[in-house]
Order: sequence, then C-alpha cells, then structure tokens
Amino acid sequence: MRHKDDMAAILGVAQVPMRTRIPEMTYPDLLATVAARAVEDAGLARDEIDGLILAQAPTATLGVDEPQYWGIAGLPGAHAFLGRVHVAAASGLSAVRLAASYVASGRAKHVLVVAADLADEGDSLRGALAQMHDPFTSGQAPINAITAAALQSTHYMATHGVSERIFAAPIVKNRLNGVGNPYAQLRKPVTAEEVLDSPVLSWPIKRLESSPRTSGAAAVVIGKANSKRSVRIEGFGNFAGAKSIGAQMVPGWTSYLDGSDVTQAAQRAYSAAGISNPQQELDFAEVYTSFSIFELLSIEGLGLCAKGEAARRIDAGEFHRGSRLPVNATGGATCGNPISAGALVRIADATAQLRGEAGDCQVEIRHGRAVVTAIGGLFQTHEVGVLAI
Amino acid sequence: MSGAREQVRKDPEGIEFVQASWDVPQKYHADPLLLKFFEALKEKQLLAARASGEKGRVIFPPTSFCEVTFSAVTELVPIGPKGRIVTFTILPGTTPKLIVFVQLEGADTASAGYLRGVPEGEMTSLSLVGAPCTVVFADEPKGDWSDFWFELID
Amino acid sequence: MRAGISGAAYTLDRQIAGGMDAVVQDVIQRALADAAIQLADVDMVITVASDALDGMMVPVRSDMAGGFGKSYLNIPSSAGHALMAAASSIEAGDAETVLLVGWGAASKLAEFDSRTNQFDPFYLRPLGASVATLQAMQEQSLIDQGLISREDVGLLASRMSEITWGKSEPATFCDGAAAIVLQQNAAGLIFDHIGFASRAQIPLDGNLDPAIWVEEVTKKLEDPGFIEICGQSPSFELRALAAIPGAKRTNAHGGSSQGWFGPASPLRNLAALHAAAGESGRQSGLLIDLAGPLGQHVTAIQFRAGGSHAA
Repeated sequence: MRHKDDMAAILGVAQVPMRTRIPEMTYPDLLATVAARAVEDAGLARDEIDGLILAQAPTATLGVDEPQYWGIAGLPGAHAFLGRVHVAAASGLSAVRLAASYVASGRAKHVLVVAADLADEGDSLRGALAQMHDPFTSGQAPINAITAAALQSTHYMATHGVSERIFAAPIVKNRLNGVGNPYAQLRKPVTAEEVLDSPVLSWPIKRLESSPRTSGAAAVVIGKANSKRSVRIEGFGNFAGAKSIGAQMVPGWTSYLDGSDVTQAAQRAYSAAGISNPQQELDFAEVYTSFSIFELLSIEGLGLCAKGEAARRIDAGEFHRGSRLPVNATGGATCGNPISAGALVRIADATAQLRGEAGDCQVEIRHGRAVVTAIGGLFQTHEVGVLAI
Repeated sequence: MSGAREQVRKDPEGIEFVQASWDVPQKYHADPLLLKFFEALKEKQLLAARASGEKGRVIFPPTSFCEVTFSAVTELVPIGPKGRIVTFTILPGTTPKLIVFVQLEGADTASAGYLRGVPEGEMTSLSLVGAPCTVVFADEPKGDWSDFWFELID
Repeated sequence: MRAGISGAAYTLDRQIAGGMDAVVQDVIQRALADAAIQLADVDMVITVASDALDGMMVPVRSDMAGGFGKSYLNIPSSAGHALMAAASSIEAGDAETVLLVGWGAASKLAEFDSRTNQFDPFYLRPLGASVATLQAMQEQSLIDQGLISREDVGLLASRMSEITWGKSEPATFCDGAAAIVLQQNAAGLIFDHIGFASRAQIPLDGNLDPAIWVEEVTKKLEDPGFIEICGQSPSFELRALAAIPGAKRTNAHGGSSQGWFGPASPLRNLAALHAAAGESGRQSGLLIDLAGPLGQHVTAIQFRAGGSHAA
C-alpha cells in the first residue's frame, strides 16, 4: 500500500445541477464552467494545472466525434492535454485513476479531469447505444442496456427466490435522498407502489427503476494533498470482464449475472487501500445505480452484505442516509445520470461528504473512508475507488 | 461538404437548434466461423466453436477467438438442440416477446434468442429459469437468426 | 522505477480484407512472444482505437484485445497520450506489465471521411470545414510563409512512401494494428523525458507551424540514435523534421503520413524502432506524435537505451 504522503488526492471538485436539458450552455461552456470551479475549489491558480484529461463516453449524443478538438480550447491545462479517456459510463472514474497515476509517478503535479453531457442533442439515445452492438449477433435478440439489466434482474430473483417488488427498495431510498441534493435532476420522492406501477420497460424493469436521461458536467482536480480538505485516493481497482455485447454469457467464468465482477474490481481496490473488512472500515458508498439491480449487486459485490440480502436490508432501514453505512446518500444516478460525467459526480459527492460539506445530504463520518463505483458499457468494465480524508 | 444552412427544428421552448446528422457508413466483417454457422442453419444444424487445449471452451454462437485463453479457435462442433434457460426478460407490447439466454447442451456459454409458445399469463414465472428447452427450426431456414427459436420441453 | 519496452509487433496493409479482429489478435500474440511473456503476465491493457473507424464502441470489445480479466483503459485521442499513460501507470506502481494495443481500418475514409464530424457544429461545419480543407489551409499558410514548398512536400511523401511500402505511391489512409508490451526495467527502449503540448482546433494564436510546436516540447538531444516523427500529413511531418536541427537518422521507418490508420499509427513506428534498436545495439532517440488533423496534439517521447534486447 502506497504511503499516505505519496498518494494522489482529490484537491477540488465541481458539478452543475443536472437537468434533462441545459439549453443555455454548449458543450465547451459546460466544460469551462466546471473546470473553473474545480480549480478554484482546489485553491489553485489556472496556470498551476499541468495536465488535462477529458473523460468522454460515446459522443454520438453530442453530435461531435473526438470532441477534444472542439471542447478543450480555453480550459485550464488545455495546453497540457493528456488525452481523452473513453470507457463508456466508467470514463470518469477510469480517468481519475489515470490522473492519480500521473501524479503519483511525478509526471504531473495538478491534473484536471472534466466531462460533460448534453443528452438532448440527439433525438434518442438509441443510435448512440446501438454502437454497442455487434451487427451480426445483435439479430439474435435486442440486447441493450435495459434488456441486459433486466436479464440480470430476473436471474437475481430466481437465485434468491425474491419477487420483482424488491427492486423498488433502492429507488425509494435514492429518490428520497435526492430531495436534499441541489444538484439532483429528480428531487421528488416516490413510493414503492409508484415505482412498481410505472410502465414496464423490459420485465421486470419498470421505468422508475431506471435513471432518467440527463445533461450535466463535473470536474475534479487531482494532485498531492495541499490542505485539510484534500481527499486521498487510497486505491483503485478495475476489472474488465463479460464477453462483449452480452451476445454470449459465460456461466462459470464470469459473473456477468451475479455481481462477482464488481467483487473482482473491489478486491483490487481494497487490496491497494489496505481494507480487509469493508463493513467496518467504510463510512459510506456511492455506487452506480442506473438500474435498481446494479445497486443490489454492487452493495453485495462490495462485500457490504451477503448475497441476496441487499433489498431486504434496505427495506429494514440499512444503507439509508441515517444508517451506519449509507449508500447513495445524494440520490446517485437514480436521480440524474449524465453518462460521461456521472462517475465524476460520484467523486464530487463522495468528496463533499468526506469533507463534511454535503449540506442536507450529509452522512456521519467516523472512519473518514468511502468507496465509489462505476460500470462501463453493457457491464463490461467495473471500476472501484477507495477515498480517505 | 456544402455550406448550405442546415434546417432548424421547432422546439416547445422556442430554442433554435441546428439540425444535422452524422452518417458513418460502415463495412462490418463477420467472424468466418459465424458465417459457417449461418450456412449450417440452412441444414437445420447448430454449430459451436471448440477452443483448443485442455481448458478449451465450447463457444456458442461460434467465434474464432476465445477471449479467456486468448487462443484462436478453428474447430466447429455440433451442439444442442436441448438446453436450459439461464435467465430471461419480456419485452412489453401488443405481442409481448420473451427473450431468453439459453445454455445449450455441450456449450460453455449461454446465448440469446426468443422463447415461443408460452402463454402471456405465464411469462413472468420464475420457473422458466433453469427450465429445459429445445431449439426449434423454421420450416425453410434462410441462414440467419430468424431460422430458429426456443420452446419449452414439457 | 522506469518503464520500458519489452516486446512489440505490427501489421500494416493498404487494405486489409476481412475484419480487424484476427489482425489485432495476431499482433498481440507476436508482441507477447517478442517479450517472452504470456497474456496472463499482463495486468493492464490499454487500447487506442476510434469508435467511428470500428463502427462499434471500442471499450465494450476490450476482450478482443486481450482485456478479459485485466485492468483496462481506452485512450483514443492519440498514441502519444496512450504511451504516456502506460509509462506513468508503471512508474506510479499501478501496473507492472502493460499491453498497449492500437488498430484502425482507416482505408474506408477514402470513400467517406467521417472525421468531418470532429468539427464544431456551430461555426466550422456550416462553413464546410473538413480535415482536407483544414490541412490545405495549413499547408498553404506554410507555403505563403516560405517555410515549405509543394515540391518538398511531394518529395517527402514519395520518400516516406518508398520506406513504408517499398514504392513511391503516396497513400492517405491504410489499415493497421500494433501492440507494445511495457514493463518496469525492460530490456528494450526506456521511457525518459516526455514533452507534450496541445493546441485548439484552430490554434488561438493563428500559428499553424508544427515546427514551433515541436520545438517547444523537445529537449536538446545529444546525438540521438533515431528520430521518428509521425503525423497525418507530409507537410507537417516536413516542418516538424525541420525543427530538430542536426538530426542524422530521421524517419527511418517512414513516419505515418503515408501509413496512417488512425490515432494508433505511431505505435507501428515504435514497434519498428524497438525491433531495430535490438539489431543495431544501444540506442537513444525521439518519437514524436503529431496527432489531430493539424498535428496540434504533440507528444515527444525521448527514449534511452535499455539493456540487451532479448531475442
């Protein structure tokens, strides 16, 4: 495990309130807004940024390919551009992992990571997400993010002998949490009945169990700790599993279905961070919940409770904001999910919590440690990060 | 690339958009073993790919490469037609469609397809998970995915 | 803890019939063999490939490039960026053995240049901007300033084409794949100083001369064993070469303007340099990646000689 003083740290963060559309800003405007705020939050001057990474997932919704040519002009660190990281929805977290490597290696001092999404610039996400298909095997059956998550959900129900009603639990919790989050897109609570009565997208997944279409932006500055508000990056773990596109699943070899891919990534992160008992050593978790099933699989995959138990425990009050180990206390992706910026929002939210600056969403910080997760593609890549203050 | 002004679309909030589209013509190349698989469907035959070596997986639908051992795969073997449902989902609509992932006998992978013949009222039954099923062929297969589907075995 | 190159391989063709998958998998196998390791020894895979060229999202296909079970990153902006990322990950202790894989079937761009989608939709696209027009504008600007002549550009293109293809038939696009294995304390070329700088789509200072950009990021080198400058267009390869005075052996592997298969192109040159460094003994040198339609994302990697190159 790396020595505290040698670790890279999060020095500054920024995000904008998430909405369906942000018509008053263009893509470069959004990037510039969050970049400036994050640099200020880091207590740095613009010219102290000596590295810039653009975390940008598929750009079809933006209408511009390789958007770094257009988007980065004028940003702090644009002259010292380190590249675009594209790992679908895990881009933000993977980019932060790379930024941490640059700082820990000494090749850069202050790296700015930015991302922005304008979700309404394409009529629908279908074209963009269709790029995830192998055109020869996609004729078998429509496998996309929703049907793939539905397949995971059904398998979970059968494995643990539970009904589709369990998927309401994380949603009700997260939507209630979103009420207190000024950055959330959805800020009204919902009841379990409302969730379960919402239209079926792909059984058993209901519309309210899946995140909305979101525009947003976030930025993070990584460097060596420079103040009491710096949040150290104790370790990252990444695991690329699952046969591409989901056209073939590999029972017995990967965990596409049961969340053990998350465990693989978590083990790598916990090992780097020196965590042996996550339930006792962490204050909270910010996990990627674009679909309800992901929250259940992530909680279990991170070792925060036994397999099959997550929903029951949420219903019993665990993992809620006031509990011992809150999950998604800001509402998470349930309340707003910009594809590229989302993982950076996890970092921004976790940082605010660890600093005690999370306002109405604040959770109790006893250990000063938290975990964040991201999932890329049709669940191919899993990223887990351990943060500490 | 013309300099002509692109169309403006009407927006409920009165925001002016520039209409443009992004066409990227592609030439996709099929995996050669997959092409053989499609040919075999015309004879109502199902083929999987067997990776070499002791740990050689049987991959269905066939691919020329095993991503786990990172070795080339050249051998095709017959597979199925029986199998077990690993998981499923239902696409809603006037005619709901049951999408299943089935692991065919002899295969190490599960693969997607449609399950037919299940009454609408019984589609959400979890007893489908783990249920035995079989591949059923169309009368005149053409050499594409529509040539077969799955049905439950009583 | 310095990162270095243990193995490398590449394939380059004017047009590869069939899919790229088998080609990519083959260069990976050859690079691993060159490094005398197995894929199981690799802990991180980094890919450099464009979604638009593949027609499919690259990160969901990481298993095709050896990524199954590994820690994974995809950096499609340039080979230089990906090389920096690989070296830094090793130097930080976040990876021990990195497999860097890049590919592209760019020959299809000859029919339809989808790179037009890279230009901003508000100003440049409505004006008719395309890679061809911007490169023409840059070339004209360099000619007007008396920095290059069209004849010199043509001569360079011919010479680079001879080296790359064995014939003087300039090519704009082609198909290719390359894989590089990086490890700590490798036997081959060791990553030393890395200079990098980027400019906007249309540089704010109006200056389009890559010589200035290259000068900024290269440190003075004493008798470099090699200099390889890779860019999309022969006119900026020409200017970049002019920026490094006294260089004796330049572009021995043809640069990339005549063998461009997407952002990963310089990896092909690096694979060739690695092979040559072994044969001709200890070498230090410079690989410069001028990425982007104007060469405006510049990465200059200075290598020093490693230990004896393992056969």
